[in-house]
Amino acid sequence: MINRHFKFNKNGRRTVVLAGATLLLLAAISCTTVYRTAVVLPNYPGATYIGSDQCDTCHDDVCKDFATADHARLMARGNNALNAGCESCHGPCSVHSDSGGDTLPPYSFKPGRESRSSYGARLTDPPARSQETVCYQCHADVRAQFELPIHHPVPEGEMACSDCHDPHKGSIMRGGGTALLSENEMCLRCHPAERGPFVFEHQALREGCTTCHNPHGSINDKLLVARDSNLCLRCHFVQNVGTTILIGGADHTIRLQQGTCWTAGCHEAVHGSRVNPALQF
Amino acid sequence: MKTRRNRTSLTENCRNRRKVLECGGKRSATPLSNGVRLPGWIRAFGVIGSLESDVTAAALHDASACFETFLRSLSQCIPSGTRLAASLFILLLLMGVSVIGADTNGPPMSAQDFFEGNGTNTYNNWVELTTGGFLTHGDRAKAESVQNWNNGGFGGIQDLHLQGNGPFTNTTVTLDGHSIYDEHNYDVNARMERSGKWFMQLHANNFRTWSDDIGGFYPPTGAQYYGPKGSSPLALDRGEYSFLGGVTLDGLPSITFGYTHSYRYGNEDSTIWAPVHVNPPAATVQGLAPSLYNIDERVDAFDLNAKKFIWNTDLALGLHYEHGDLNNGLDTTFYPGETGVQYDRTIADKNTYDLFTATATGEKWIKQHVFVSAGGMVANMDNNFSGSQIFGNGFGVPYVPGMGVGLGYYNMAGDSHLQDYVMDLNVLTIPMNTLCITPGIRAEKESWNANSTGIGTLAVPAQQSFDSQSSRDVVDVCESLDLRYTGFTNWVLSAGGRWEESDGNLDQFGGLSQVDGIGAPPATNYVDDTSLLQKYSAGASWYPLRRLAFDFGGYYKYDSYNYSADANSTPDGETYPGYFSVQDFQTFDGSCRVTLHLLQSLTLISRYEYQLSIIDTTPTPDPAFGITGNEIQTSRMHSHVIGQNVSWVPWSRLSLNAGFSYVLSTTKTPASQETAAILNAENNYWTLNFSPSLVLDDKTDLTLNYFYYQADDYQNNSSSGVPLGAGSREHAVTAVLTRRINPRLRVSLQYGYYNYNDALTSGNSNFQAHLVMAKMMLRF
Repeated sequence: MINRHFKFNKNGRRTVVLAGATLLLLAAISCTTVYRTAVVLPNYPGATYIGSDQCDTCHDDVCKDFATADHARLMARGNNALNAGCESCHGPCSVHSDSGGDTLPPYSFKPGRESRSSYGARLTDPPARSQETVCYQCHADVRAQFELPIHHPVPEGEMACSDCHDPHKGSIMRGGGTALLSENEMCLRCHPAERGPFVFEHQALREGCTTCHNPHGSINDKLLVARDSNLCLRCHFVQNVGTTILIGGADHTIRLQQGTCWTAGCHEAVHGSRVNPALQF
Repeated sequence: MKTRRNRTSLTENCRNRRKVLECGGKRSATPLSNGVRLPGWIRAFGVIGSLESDVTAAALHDASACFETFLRSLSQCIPSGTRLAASLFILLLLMGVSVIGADTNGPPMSAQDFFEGNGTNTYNNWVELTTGGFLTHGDRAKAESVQNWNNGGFGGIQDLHLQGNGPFTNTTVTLDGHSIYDEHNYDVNARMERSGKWFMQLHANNFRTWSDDIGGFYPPTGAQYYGPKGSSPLALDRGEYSFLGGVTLDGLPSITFGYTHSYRYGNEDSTIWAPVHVNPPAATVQGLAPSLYNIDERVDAFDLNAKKFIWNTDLALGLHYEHGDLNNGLDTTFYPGETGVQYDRTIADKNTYDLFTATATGEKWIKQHVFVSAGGMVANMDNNFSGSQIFGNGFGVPYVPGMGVGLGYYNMAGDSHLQDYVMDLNVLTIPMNTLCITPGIRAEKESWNANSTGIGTLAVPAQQSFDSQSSRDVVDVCESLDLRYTGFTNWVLSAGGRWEESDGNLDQFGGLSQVDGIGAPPATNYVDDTSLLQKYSAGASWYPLRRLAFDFGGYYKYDSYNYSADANSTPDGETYPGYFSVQDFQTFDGSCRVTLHLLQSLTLISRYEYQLSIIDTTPTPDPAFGITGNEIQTSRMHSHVIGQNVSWVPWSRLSLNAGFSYVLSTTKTPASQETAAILNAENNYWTLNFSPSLVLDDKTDLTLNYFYYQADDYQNNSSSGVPLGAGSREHAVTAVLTRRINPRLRVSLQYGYYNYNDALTSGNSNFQAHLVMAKMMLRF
């Protein structure tokens, strides 16, 4: 006789119960009537895209300078690109425009909206009005970097994307290129100890802090782009002479087994030294 | 009549079911107010058209009762396993029907309404109180480090905003802030202004981050190494106090003055790991015991800025003076726990600096088609520093001859001076409405010199004074050209180039590297250097449909550094860059993004990026070490980055957001082919986010979040070296229930569960954590 009663194992039963409970909840709440609808910003019911030209009517100071911004590269002529421009980040603004500005755009970043930050907590999802939520829509890779165990405190609300990036004017980087400030200066504002000048500099800093650090987030401590000796060996070439490994002409065969280049009493002064030419301390 | 017919059909339907199932439902005697509409799934359940409110109430409860009893009876007559499946099928069917019949014709709701409730502009003040707790199991330090919460309870003001009229005529005052007790997280910002006249602002904040001073795990012995303070979490506070004031009178230059005192104070983990004997009989030494940073940094900054719109030009002048007092250190225990061998090392690093900068900028639009910006900056910086590296039994002890095994020093003192001159000019021209050309140039001249003296030490009771000097002059010129073309409908094309040339020299002399003839001789390096950095980029955005957009982009970067060492006295050539003559950095990068609004309620954003970086080095020929002058590829780094975002509103009351990111990144150097101690550096990871948000009723929302992260790059090569690849995994689930009791009062309850596993420490960094938080916001 064929047993027609199929059985769930323990995990399967749990899954089914959980799914059932979820569906029951959905079914239960569907029995009530609401006026409100779910919203995924920047879209919300009743608002449509009106194009950046409309924004220029009142926000001419911002729009004028926006021509110089990196983000201006998104703006094209044609109806299909109507939503590329101001509304890419601020959301559809028809309601904002029709109300004469009384109703703010979906992303307005004004005080009093949903907290920009969670004040310390790293939530799995940023508050809807936090600034980075807008940036994450297109820059999903950056969102992933900020979600890594080691990251600058943007998810915690202690920093914002606009601290280092300017979305409205000029290069997206606040420093670097042909700006007055150098790119490294963005880092040195908060990390003055690495500014120097040191007596013995580390020339890698000429290439920039981002040579060794990923500023958004990393799987490695100290935001390092690599946690092991490869970080240094990218530039400091290795030479194999018989069974001896030379780096810079010095025998490093045993040292390489003991850890990274900047540990175990070796080249610890990675940002520069005031004492030792080989950046040992 | 239509309404009554609907009601009849529905209730009759239920009655028929009751007969069949021999069970009954209750009918509501209380009519609902006008305007209440039938839920979507009921309307779709064979009922067409709208119902009047009193009828709706009855129908609603009938339907609900029927549904309940139906399920109950179903459970009695169907075997358990099948019952569950059947129940789920029915529920899914109902939900599917409800989705189809979802009522989306309600009055449009602004984003403000959704997040703040009705009356957004009615109440301008609010205070949000919070309380809760963060409970950890496992590695508390890691939990606090990753989640940025202090273990234990907390409470205070989550958000405060007050605004009103100020004490003076036509002035307004605003006060914002938060204060969370025991999280060391405070922020207050007070501002008073008279529009178009003047303003002043006071700001203070502090926030704390935690770190886990855990070091290397040695698999063969199962030993886990901690820093000098053990497994306790290290805390580092950062904050500032500032004042900003200014006058903004019409017709006169706006002048602002600011003062900021910022600080960092506390302890932080370090990736500098001290040696231990992992295999005493063979005396194998590996660097596994972590050290910790002592940080005490205070910076005072004064800013004076003036702006004036004159001659159709925005002119700005700025003065900045900054005084820094940095008193940092590094504590390290060598061979911790090894009797007769253990000793401590204290590095003290004190630095005070004075930085002065003066800037002047001008920006002008010329006939709507040309925008010119130009600026200049002069900076001067003076440093005075001192420090020591002392070995002893304990931290902060005075120098004792004979301790430690390596070089140390004390009474180190010195200074450095820097002058920097920068000027730039950028022009944005729009020769045609569809073409934008932006050339720019920047020139910088930097000069600095530094010197230090001190007394070097060795383990043997030997001392020797040392001194060192260095100087550098460099001139750097950067040119750029950006093009943007929008002549093709729904297309935008862009291209850019940047060229940067530098010419400089670096002289280094002396330094501590030798005591009593032991060690490498002090440096004598005179190096001339030139560099040429080039970057070319191109991109295109195409909008073939209103619902579809493509973005393509890429760049090629080539940085070449040339060194000419007139003298390099270091015998083994270890001093960088004395042992090579050319180093080239190349990067190839390409990316594309597709944005697809498949439905009005469904948006997909996909992104892919590939990057390849290569560093080539040409060594200085040295026959003594068999080094030829042939170019060597010293590293090759490539990465694939895949990202996908999805947002969907399948039902008028349910929104779904999901994000996925996958990164495949490898750094290869020749070292991995020479020794098993060095593996290729793998930085692969992926993350997943899923966030459904549900509108439970007119006042209540439920938002769930799930986050997953995994890096699986750990390889146990402890037999050859120190395993360092990241191997960690994290699950995080949070739920937030928000209810707007009335337009003035909003409460929310949040729960979070976090589960973190770490392979690098063989589980010693694992933690589970629970976060419970309640918030109440009062608007007035």
